[in-house]
Amino acid sequence: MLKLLLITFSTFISLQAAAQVYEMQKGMIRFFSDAPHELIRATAKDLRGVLDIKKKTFAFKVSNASFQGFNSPLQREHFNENYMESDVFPESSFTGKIIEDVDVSKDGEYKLRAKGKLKIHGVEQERIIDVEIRAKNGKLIVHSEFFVSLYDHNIKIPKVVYDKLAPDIHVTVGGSMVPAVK
Amino acid sequence: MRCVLFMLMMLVCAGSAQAQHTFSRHFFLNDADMPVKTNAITQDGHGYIWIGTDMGIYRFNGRQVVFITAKKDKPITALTAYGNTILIGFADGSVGVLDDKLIKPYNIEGAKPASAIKDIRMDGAGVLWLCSEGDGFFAVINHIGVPCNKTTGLSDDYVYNLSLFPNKRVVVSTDQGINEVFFEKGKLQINNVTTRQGLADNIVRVLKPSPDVTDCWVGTQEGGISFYCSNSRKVWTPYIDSAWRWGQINDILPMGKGRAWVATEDGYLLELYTRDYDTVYVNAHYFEGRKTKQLLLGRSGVIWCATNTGMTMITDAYMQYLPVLQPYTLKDVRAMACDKDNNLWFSLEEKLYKLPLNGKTNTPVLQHTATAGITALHVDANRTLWAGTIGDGVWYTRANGKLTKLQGISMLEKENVLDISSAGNTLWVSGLNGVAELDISQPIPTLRRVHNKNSGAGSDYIYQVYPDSKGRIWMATDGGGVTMLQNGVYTQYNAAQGIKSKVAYTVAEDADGRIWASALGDGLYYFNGSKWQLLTSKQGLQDVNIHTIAANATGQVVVVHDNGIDVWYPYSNQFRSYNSRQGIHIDSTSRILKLYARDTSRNVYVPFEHGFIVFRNIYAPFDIRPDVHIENVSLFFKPVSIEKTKYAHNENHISFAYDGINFANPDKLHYRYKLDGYNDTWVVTNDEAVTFPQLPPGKYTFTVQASLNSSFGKYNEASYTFRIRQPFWRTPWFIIFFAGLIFGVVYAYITIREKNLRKLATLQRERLMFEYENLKSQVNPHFLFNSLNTLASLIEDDKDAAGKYTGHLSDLYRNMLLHRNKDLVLLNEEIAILENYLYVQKSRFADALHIQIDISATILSSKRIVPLALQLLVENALKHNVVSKSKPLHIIITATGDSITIRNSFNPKISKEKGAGLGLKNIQKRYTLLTDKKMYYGVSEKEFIVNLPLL
Repeated sequence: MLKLLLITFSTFISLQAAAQVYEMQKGMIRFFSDAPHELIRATAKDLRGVLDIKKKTFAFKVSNASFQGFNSPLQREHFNENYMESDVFPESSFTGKIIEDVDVSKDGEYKLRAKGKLKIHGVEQERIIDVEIRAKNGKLIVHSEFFVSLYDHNIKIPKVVYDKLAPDIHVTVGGSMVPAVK
Repeated sequence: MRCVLFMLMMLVCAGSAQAQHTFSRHFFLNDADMPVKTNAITQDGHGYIWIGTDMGIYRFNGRQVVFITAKKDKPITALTAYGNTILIGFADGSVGVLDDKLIKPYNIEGAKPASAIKDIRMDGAGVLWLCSEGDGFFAVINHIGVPCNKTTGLSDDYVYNLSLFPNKRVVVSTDQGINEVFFEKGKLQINNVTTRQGLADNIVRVLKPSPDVTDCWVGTQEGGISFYCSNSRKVWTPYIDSAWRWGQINDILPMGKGRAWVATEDGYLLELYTRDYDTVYVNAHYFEGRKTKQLLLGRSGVIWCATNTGMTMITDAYMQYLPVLQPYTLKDVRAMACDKDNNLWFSLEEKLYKLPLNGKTNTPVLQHTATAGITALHVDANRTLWAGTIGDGVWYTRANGKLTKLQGISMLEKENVLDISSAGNTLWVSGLNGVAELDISQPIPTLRRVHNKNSGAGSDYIYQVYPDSKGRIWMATDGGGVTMLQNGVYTQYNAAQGIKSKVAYTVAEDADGRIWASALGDGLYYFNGSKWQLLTSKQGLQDVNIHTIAANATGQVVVVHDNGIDVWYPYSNQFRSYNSRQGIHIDSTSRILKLYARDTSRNVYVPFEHGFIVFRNIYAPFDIRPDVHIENVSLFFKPVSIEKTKYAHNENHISFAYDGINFANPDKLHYRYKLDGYNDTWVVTNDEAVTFPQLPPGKYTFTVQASLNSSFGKYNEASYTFRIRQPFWRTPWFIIFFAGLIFGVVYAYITIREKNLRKLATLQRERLMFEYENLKSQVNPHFLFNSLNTLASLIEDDKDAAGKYTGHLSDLYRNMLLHRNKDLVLLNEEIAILENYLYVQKSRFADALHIQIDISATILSSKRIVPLALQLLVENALKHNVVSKSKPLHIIITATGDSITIRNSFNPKISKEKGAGLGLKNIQKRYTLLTDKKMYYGVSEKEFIVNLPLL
């Protein structure tokens, strides 16, 4: 569903001037849960995204099953089966608009706010996320850190693992974006 | 659902200049204490608080949160009350209206939002305004939506909040600044204000006009507060010490006088103050794990917060507290005073502390340790601090600022001081030896006079001296009641003026110049100029053992007693009560007399366990009176529409459920009701439902009133007028109709009866006539002569026949006697008479008379005829016709089902017999009296025919 949206989105914007739309070339998303009894980290390299710098809209998504890391294979299984329910909700996404009125195609460093719908575990939450963009030679280096509340996304934690899982998960997103090829 | 769980939130003060704290209480919306995400909150005309959540809509009456209804999978994102109508905005962009606890869709034709409603509002002209998350905003006029979005020139389609300004100006806050939309020269103009014009941040989440000035409060996502002037359309960001650090602003509640409450996403509730709208001071309260989404100022002055877990109530500035942390136990405060620099002085036993009210810390500073307990503190007009002790006299601050003992006045040397007060250059020290009045105009105070029992003050023990604004000196004495000194004359108030007790504890004057006093065991008195009026539990006072009375500058009177604190609200004319049961940690109060202080603005400070409670001046007219609402009307326990006001005669079992609404003291709420038309006495009750079974027909008005004390009034009542119809047989038209009918029936009966009687009389007369005629004919000498001749001849010829003849003759007479009184006889009886008669006549006429009777037996035995009619007709025939051998008389009698015909050969005698036709006429008359059927007679060629009806 989201893929379709993304494709239509990208095909639609690719009709516009080429330098207007940027595509994720190499992206990475990482999260860590800093609970009193356990620290869990995982990383996914399957981050895709597009950014229309003129319309100031964007869409990013990641496949939940592509997260690697964790402290054990069992933990990864729990992550996919119990918490994220990756069978039902295979992807997480963030789509929306950029608030600040700046032209990031010019070289420089920008601090922007991305406002949109963060969809995780099938639950959409409206979020404003701070993003740092460094533009150099037509390439955008994107970096952002934010927290995801498990409660807000209806991810239920069993009481047994209360001390092993933080209620707010720290997420880091980074990558480089290049103008989309037609 | 019904349970309301509350708890005190011990707020963490986030280090600010304003160190006062708000009292707060949290409410879960359900029994299970499960958090429910609350997005919107509003108050309707009845006073109900409505709470819009992800799980539906809830209603709060001060005591219970009740779930009303929900639309499945449609979180409520916005709410507004238009009078008593609740309009609801949903996450999917649709709008609903609450109708009798059900959400009905509010239809919008034309343009309508397709994304979540962020703000909803109905203006005075009935235009519905909607702000949407992605489609701009809409004006809905008569259910037709008109959009305003990026296409029409709005800077962004994400609209958070909308304000309506005079001259049809609409100001909206968006993700791209403020947009002011207005018409100029008939054209739509949009003025966009962003960071370029000085806005703190382009994401403007809320813009709220101030109630008193043109400067609007603007809340942004990361830049904090800005101001927007609705006149100049200028925007600016005020200075805040150490920058904005409380996160995204969710809502602002401007209070006027440069004050506003701000709710942030990071869990803060901020009290903002500004004098010039250029510098803003922040008093921050942190709510752990609770994000306030929307703020509402209730009519009672309480602020209601819609939070991510439920609802939180906070007290606005009218009642806050100054926390004083451990190790100070403020239960043991002995005396208090406030100086002209707003430093609060208080004593804990012999230790004297100072607490600056506008300071940055809440830690009292020890100023002096006396040799004896300090029991009285006072600051005079010359800023001198006076302290009274137990057994060590009076101390005061000299020019050097040090506390020094007052020397030279012998009666005060070792005095146990109860109270110190002053007015101008006069100071009163009351103790166990009366009151010493000192002249303090000189550096060394001198004793001017002494007020005690001897001087006429009523007692030597005077608890308090209170100089009022009119120059009168009021004294609360032990034994002399309240004594007033004016122009050197003492006036004592006792039972004659309304004060029962002789022991008065404390006196105070309120902002309207009214004197209040408390007396042992009586309660609270106020002086109306000539008499003292008593206020007791009837007026809502929680306790009559009052220790302190203190009045602020706006008319409120704080009354401290063993059971808590009552505050008199002159506007609402009742007490607002605080006690240990309310869960806001006012658990015990001091028993020391006259223990309060007033700052320079006359805000009242009273100590409690956690610090000082501040009863601030209230400039807004809070309404703490309860309201009541008729919840539903039931007929035989089945709810009916409240619109239904007419009931049939058998719909007479009516119940009312009503609901009291109060947020100040819901625990004290009770009701009284009356059903006008049934009886006119009020019934006082705690129940919230009443049933009236078997109401007789009539017009009724059910009235219910709510009260927090025993005085009820019209301002808070609800009523319902209805009528139970008379059964149709008791309606006036029916009674008239029925009376007419009865009259008609009686009239008809009488008429008919009269007619019948008359008829009967006629019949009787006719019959008598007939009988007479008949008898006359039978005793006709002619008949007798003939009969006797016949008998005579028979006796000679045939003895037997003669006997038989005599028998028949006597039969004939007997039958005639027998039947003459009857109206009708059976046909065969008549035939029997006829046969007797014929036998007699046949003996005379022999062959000259031929009779043929041809009637079937069934007719004979079932039909009836007028008696002697046949006999008369046959007699007539014999009388009028020639009967001879040459001309015999033939009589033929036949009968059908309903008539009998008598025919005789017509051969009339030449000489007519006398009385001809009399018999026939007689028969005819008798028939007309008996029946409608007619009798016919007439002559055909050779026959005379009579047709008689059979009955």
